[in-house]
Amino acid sequence: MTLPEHQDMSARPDSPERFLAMEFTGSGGEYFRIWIVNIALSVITLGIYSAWAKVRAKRYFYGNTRLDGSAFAYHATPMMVLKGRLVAVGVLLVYVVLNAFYPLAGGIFYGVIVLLLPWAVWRSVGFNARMSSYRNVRFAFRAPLGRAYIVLLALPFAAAVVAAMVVVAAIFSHGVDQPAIGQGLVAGAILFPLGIVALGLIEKMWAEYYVNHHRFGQGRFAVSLSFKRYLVIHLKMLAVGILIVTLLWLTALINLFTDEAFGWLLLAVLFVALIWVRAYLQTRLRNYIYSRATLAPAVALYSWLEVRRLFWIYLSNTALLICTLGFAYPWLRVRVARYLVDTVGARFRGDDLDAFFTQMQPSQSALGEELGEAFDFDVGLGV
Amino acid sequence: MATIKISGDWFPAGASKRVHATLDLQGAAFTLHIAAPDVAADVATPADVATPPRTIEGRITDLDISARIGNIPRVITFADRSVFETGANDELDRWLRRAASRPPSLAHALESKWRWAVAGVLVTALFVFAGVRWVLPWSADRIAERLPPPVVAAVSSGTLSVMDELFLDPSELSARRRQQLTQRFSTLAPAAAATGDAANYTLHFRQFGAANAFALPSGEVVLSDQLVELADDLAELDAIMLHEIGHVVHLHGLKAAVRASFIALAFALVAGDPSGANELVASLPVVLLQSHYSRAHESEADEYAFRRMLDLGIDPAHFAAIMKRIASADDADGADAGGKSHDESVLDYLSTHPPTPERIERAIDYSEQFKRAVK
Repeated sequence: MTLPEHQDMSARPDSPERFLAMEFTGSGGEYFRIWIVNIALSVITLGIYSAWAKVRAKRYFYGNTRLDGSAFAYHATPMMVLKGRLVAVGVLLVYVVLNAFYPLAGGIFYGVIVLLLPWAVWRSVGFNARMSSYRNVRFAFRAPLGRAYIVLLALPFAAAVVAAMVVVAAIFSHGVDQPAIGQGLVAGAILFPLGIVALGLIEKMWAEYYVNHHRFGQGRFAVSLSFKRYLVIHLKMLAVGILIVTLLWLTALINLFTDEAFGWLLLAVLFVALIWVRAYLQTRLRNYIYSRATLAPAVALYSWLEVRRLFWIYLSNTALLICTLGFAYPWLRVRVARYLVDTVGARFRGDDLDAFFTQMQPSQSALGEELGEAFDFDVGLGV
Repeated sequence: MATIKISGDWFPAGASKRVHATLDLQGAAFTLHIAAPDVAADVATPADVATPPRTIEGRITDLDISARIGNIPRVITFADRSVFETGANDELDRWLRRAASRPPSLAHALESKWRWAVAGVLVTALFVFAGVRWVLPWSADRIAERLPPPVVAAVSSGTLSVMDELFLDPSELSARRRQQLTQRFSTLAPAAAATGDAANYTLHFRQFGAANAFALPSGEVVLSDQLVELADDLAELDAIMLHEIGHVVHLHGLKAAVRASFIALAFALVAGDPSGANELVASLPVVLLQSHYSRAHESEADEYAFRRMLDLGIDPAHFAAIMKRIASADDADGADAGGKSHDESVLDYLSTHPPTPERIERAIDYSEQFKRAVK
């Protein structure tokens, strides 16, 4: 394994250096038993046990993720998760009732929820960080809330407004009497690259926000990403996206002209293409972000996923999941976790993590700490 | 009693400094032996970490030991908040059982044996089946019965106008005929004050392609022009209207709607994404459109109609007559569509009257009862 030179290592140049890979030690059979007991007890208790189930599953995956002989740990208690879930169910019930009987109030309620989403995500990321530890030291996420609103709400909203303007402009510039296909092609030709740019920008900003405000003890994570690199990575997706859209059109046309077998074949190809896009984006972005990330003062991270292997894992997992009616899920989840964990490593400058990190005095007054995340945002980096 | 020796890593309170240590367990007492720390001279070490204690002693009750999950390392927290991490799960469990007679948690006991996993699969399948088959419909019905009248009115208020836009055309029946039927309907419908239910019974006429009728929970009964034209006798339409009133009286529409929402909600929760339920349970009126009555509901409404007909002195044979005629009309339609009497169309889905020989037989049974009473 060859690794690129890492930039910006601020530790003493003369200290020894060593490289360690992470390791996943869980097994599918072991997790299957945890998984099915979790489901059975959740069903019997009408969902109440699901809070315990979530904590047990999370502790299993954290506890089997090892680096340098020590495992990660997850510390949230089931009661925290249960309280969070009760809040979520309450919100959902209010929304369902309002929407069914007072649609206007339901709409307003929905709007309020959307406005609160960045806050909820921000809170969820913070909660997950504080509940995670490695070698007796907790992680933390100390980030300005306003930035979460910019990245998660303002930018997507602006992109949507621009997209709407493009659509309107395309319709008017071509005249309403022009064939719809022409307008659609022009709008698509503008919207697709626009979407790619917006997506790349939002993803880059989110990744920087997410990483740069995470801490491990007193150590800060840091990453600096180039927008150009994000664009390049997403451009390949554009090519596949065009292929997908073409296939969709063909599928629709062929279904219209009743060659059903060929239509199904195209749908299958489409599905495989979507899996490939996912594997491709995850590989490229994860490798890029990790390899640019450092934990000050003396740790540099790496990731060396391969598109082909990840694609094969996702593709075969999908097939196995369908063939086994979902019962293979625990094995498949462990398989993905193993590949994702085993391809991450860290280079340490200095002897060890030993003396570098001490816990900052935790501010115990952290608002609503016993209330877990309500909506289980598994946000992370999305990679 | 034999000493249990466990090796692992010790961490000072709140620090990542890792020192090898062994935990000796004897009876309810423990002794932790911490190896000499080999701190490199050039590494800045926080003051409180510089001179760790060489041993920690205490009793089992002083320890906070994390619960076992699979084989992940256990974390033992001492009174001074320092931490011992070990992978020796089995030895630790043996000590806990022996010294504190603390068995491993129930969850871990279940998770560690394949036979419990198999039991888990069976229990899950059983509960899901029983839930969907009995518990869910039962509780949905109880909720439907307890919905306050304003809610019932609100649920179905928009439904007829939605249906007007989607499937229904205005009636072309003569005003006289409509007036005549409306008048009969008002004598058939239970008085709101008498029943105390939320329904406000009204009769409506529409065209929707087939000889059919349906009722909304609010008490709106809709007859199709084709059905009215198909009837030879006003008493036949009385039978149909009473059947529809039976659906309203027994809250069938509401029950079906609440059931459908329950199923959608349960599905969304099980699938693990409560937020996705928004789309599924977005509006009850839409569900109302999609839910058709179960067979049990049909026969309950039939029974209601037959009893009322006996009370009102109408021969239930009229019900049999119109049912037969609807069935033969449907068959005539179906013959064009390749012999299937029920092709999959939106209106078939909405069809509230699957013509079945049993229903006709029941009507004839009641008719005989009626004729005996008349004699």
